[in-house]
Parts: sequence; C-alpha cells; structure tokens
Amino acid sequence: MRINRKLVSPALALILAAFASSIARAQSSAPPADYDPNFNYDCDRACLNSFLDKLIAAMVKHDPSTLPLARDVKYTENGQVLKIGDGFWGTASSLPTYKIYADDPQAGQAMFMGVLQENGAPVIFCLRLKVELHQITEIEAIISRKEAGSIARPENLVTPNPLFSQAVPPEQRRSRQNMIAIANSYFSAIEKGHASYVPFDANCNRIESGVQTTNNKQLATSPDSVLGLGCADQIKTRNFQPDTLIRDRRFAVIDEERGLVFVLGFFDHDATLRTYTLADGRTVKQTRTAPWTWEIAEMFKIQDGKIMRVEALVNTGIYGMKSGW
Amino acid sequence: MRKSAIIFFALAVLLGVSGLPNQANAARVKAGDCDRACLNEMADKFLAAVVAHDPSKLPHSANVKYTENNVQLQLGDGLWATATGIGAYKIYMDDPEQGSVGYFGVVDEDGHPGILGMRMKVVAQKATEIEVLVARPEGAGGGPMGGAANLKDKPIFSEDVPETERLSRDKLIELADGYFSTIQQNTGKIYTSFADDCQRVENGGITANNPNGTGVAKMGCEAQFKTGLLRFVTRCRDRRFVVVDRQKGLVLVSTFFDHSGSLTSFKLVDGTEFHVRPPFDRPFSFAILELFKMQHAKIRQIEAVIVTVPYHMPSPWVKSSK
Repeated sequence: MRINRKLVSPALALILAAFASSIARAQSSAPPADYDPNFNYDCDRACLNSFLDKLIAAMVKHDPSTLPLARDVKYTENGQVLKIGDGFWGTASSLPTYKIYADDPQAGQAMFMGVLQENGAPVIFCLRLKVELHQITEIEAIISRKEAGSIARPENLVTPNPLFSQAVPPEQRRSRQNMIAIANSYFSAIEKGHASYVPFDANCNRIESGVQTTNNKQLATSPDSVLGLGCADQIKTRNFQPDTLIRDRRFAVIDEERGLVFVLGFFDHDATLRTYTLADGRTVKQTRTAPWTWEIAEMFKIQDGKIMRVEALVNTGIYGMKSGW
Repeated sequence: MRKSAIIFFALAVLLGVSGLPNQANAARVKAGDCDRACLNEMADKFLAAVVAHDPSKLPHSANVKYTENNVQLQLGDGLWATATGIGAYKIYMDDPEQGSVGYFGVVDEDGHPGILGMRMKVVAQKATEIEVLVARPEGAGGGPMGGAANLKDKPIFSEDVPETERLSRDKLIELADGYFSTIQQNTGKIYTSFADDCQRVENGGITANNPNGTGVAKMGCEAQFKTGLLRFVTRCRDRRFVVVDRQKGLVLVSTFFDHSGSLTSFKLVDGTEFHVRPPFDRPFSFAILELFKMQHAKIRQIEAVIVTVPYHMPSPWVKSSK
C-alpha cells in the first residue's frame, strides 16, 4: 500500500501501515518452489478467514479456477466425495449473511457456519477447510436445507451471538485437550447417558439448525418436551436415551483464543428403544419407528472451563452413513 | 409360484431329501445352483429372519455383505432390529443362472409401513450379498411417495412369458439400460421400446399411465420422455442389472439418479420454457431398485423403490463409483 506521508500524520501512518500488513497476511501468497527461511509459511486467523471467504465467494461464482487449491485437494459435500465444481458449487447463489468463523492456526484448519442462498432458497451452510503451505488441501461442506424431514430454519439465523467472535481472556482459556474433553463430555452424556456431568455455564443455550432448543418455553408445548429446560437440566432428565451412538467424533477446529471447539460427527438412532423412563419416573414413548442418523456440525463456546453456548447444524442422514473422512 | 414352492419343499421333507447326501443335493451346493423355488425360499427366509430380529434364521456365508439404503451395516442392525411384520404385497424375481433373487414388498416397523426392495445373491444355498432399500414415509425426502397402502397386486409380474417369446439376457438388459439412457439428461430421444400401455409405479404412486392421474402422470411412459421433461436428471449412474428373470421377462436394476441442481430452467422438446421446481433445483440423488416387465420386446410395467440419499453417494457395491 502506497502512503503519501506528507498528507498523513505519523499516528495515522502507523495505523495504515498496520492495516496494510494485516491485508498482506490475509491475502497470503503461494510459497516459493525452493524452501525459503524468510518466507512466512504460517497461516494465522486473518489468513485462514481469507481462505474461507475466497472459497465461499468462488462457490457462489461457480468458479473454482482462481482458488489456491492443492493438486490433490479433497472435497466432500454432505459426506460424499465430489469433484470441485460439482454439487453446491453449481447451486450456491448468494454470499452469506449470518457468519461465524472458528480458526485453528496450529492445525491449519478453519470452520465457517452461516446462512446463504441456494438457487434463491436460504440454507444453513457449514464449511471446514485445511490449509497447508498456503494451499487448500481439504474442503468439507455440509448443507442443511429446508426440505421434507429437515429441521432447518435458516430464516431464524440473523445475527450470531457475539460470544462466538469474542476472545477469551488469557486466564480463562483452557488447553486444547482440555477443550476437547469438555466438548466430548457433552456427547458422552447424551449417548445412552454414559456420563452425567457436563460443565455447562448456568446461562448456556443451544441453537440447532436455527432453532433454540434450550430454555425455549414457546416450543415446549407437550408435557414430555425438554425444550423449555436449560442445557444442564435437559441432560439430567435422561431424555436423550434414543441417541444410540454418537460416532466418528472429529474435533476438527480448536480455536484457543476464542474458546471454540468445532466438532463433526453422527448421532445414530437404531430406533429399538420403544419406550424409556425419564429421571423423574415418567415413561416416554419413542415416536420414530425406523433407524435414522443425524449428521452434525456442532460448535461449543468454552470460557473458564464452562460451555457457554452450543450451536449446531443438524441434517437427517442415512442410518449408519459415513463422513467421507 | 408361492404354492409351487411350498409343494416343492413339502415333497422334499416327505421324501426325506433334505437329510440325504444324494446327487441332487450335491449338485445344488454349487454356486448359482439354486432354482426358483430355492431362491424364493431364501427370500422368504430373509424376511422371516428380519422380522424375528435373528440373522441366524437366514443361511448366510461368514462374510455376507449387507447394505440398507446404500450403507453397509452388520446383519442384525437397521431394519433387522425394527421390522415387525411383512405385508401381503409381494413380487419375486429369480435369476437361477446368477444365483440372484429379488423381492418387492411392504415391511412394517411398529405400525409404520415402508416399501421394501431387496436383492440377494445366493451361493451354495447361503446368502452372500443382500442389498435392501426401504422407502419410509418420513424418509422419502423429495421423492415420489404414493405409500405402501397404494400397492395393489399386479399379476403381470408373476406371469410366465411363453417359451417361444422369451428374450435373451442381453436383450432384456438392453431394454432396461435404454430406459435409463432415455432419462439421463432427457432430450426426448427414446433409447428403448415401450408398450403403449406401459405403466410405472414409484414408491406406491402411479407416475405414468395413471388412469386417475392428471398432467404428466396421466401420460404414457414414452410420451412423458418424448417431452424432454426429465432433463434435470444429470446421471443415471452405476446401473447394475442384478436380477434377470428370462422366464418371467423381468429385469431388476440397482441404480442412482443424480440431480446436480444446477439446471434451473430449460426448453422442453416443444419449445416451452420449463422452470425446475424444488427439490430438483438442489443437489441430491435417488438410490433406486427398479423392476421392468418386458412383453413382446417392449417395456410393459415398471415398479421402483426409491430412497433419497446425499448427492452422488457412491454405491457400496461398485468399486469405483462414477
């Protein structure tokens, strides 16, 4: 960036110089063919986010040609390996509005959750990418559409909770493995009630595919509904017994600075449990009679060792389906 | 057919055949040497074993492969744990040459009937491959769904073709393959032969030659495709002709319809602009088991079990799914 120093104050020049440097980092260029000890091989938060933005823009343009893709880049969409340019690359029709980013510079991975249009219809969109040597080596997209059998309500997602973009004060951060253990405890408590303790913050809330599924008195219309309860109280009811197996959990992005863990996985329901007893002794009849699987992308905000917020994309998949990874 | 199978096995029991290592039994142990009655009995044993939630009731090889709605599962998982009954509607198709049997019917899961399509490979009188699709009311996605209750007996599927009129395996396969070539990016050109009274039933709904239908469903098979209406079917992929029943003129095909969703409008053959409606304006696929009855070297009756799956989901039965 060229700056006319006669026209700007020294302070403004400093700000502009800092801005220029951040732009340079974000743009990132391909490394030279020969190893260069002076080249910055790292890809920081701004760099990873610029890759996410470029990737989404390329999908909306239906044109992957300008992307820095590795020669053997792998792309999956809703668990299936596709060629770059196929699937959502041919149907995405607007840049996202609702946007949440999570970045893991140490692993070279980043994730995005947002809402954009597909041939004019809003969809909830989750994207994971891996960047190595400033090239995209892995792309994983999960798209949740409003269709028969879907719970997606993209229209409800207008403004992301600010917690997701706020840095956690350094003294309230936890180690990577500690963050994974906290997120994992959530799944272990749900899966057949293998565990009972999940470190929820008292104000924790969860949004699933655009629907607030905790502390939502409006949706808790039936006596068996747990939607009116908070995160911790829901687990205590033992309402999640039909969740047979939470498998292939991948803790894909650990954003230590913002306290985010982004998990990909599947909830299998074998539908064999026809009735089950809640902690308060009530018997609940399972209404679904056939096996089904939820394909999920779930993000946890963790601060001071507590889960503050959970936000997930939940797709109805084929029972037992695999992730493609 | 069912009666003859029962008589065959009743006779076998009366004569004590099953316990004797005679020549007939020794010969039947070979791969592909399971006749129609034997194949149908294997299909029945599968159904009984599924409802009993007990894989041991089905003779199967140690490395039997089972897929349900295009996902490989262990025997005992999935439908094996939820099926509570089998409906009266039944179609059998047999291919003793390949040792393959196919079955269409209705399966109940605690009061919820789903439409079942199955094909099984039998070697040495044991199941080695089982491929199942279950089209359930809540899982049909954007697929056509008339429902299990609409499935009515169609004697045409169990009628023998007179010996002099039977088609070769290759010709039967060619007619079925041509059906999918006609649909793939449907241009209006016909790559197979349709009988004038050809009718199609998909997941219980009559979707061609429907006497009570309106619009496209009222049209005949060929007339529909001559319009070029199905241009948005990007690929009819991984076509496998899993049962070829020369005696009854049947071919069962396992395949996928891929819809890329990228074609949002196009011109029909008559020049009319057609705007693609949901769900065909988004990427998704159908996993399909489709049965064809051929008469006089033409497609006469079509019946399909269709399950919506993620776009371009590969087949667990195809090594390099295209």
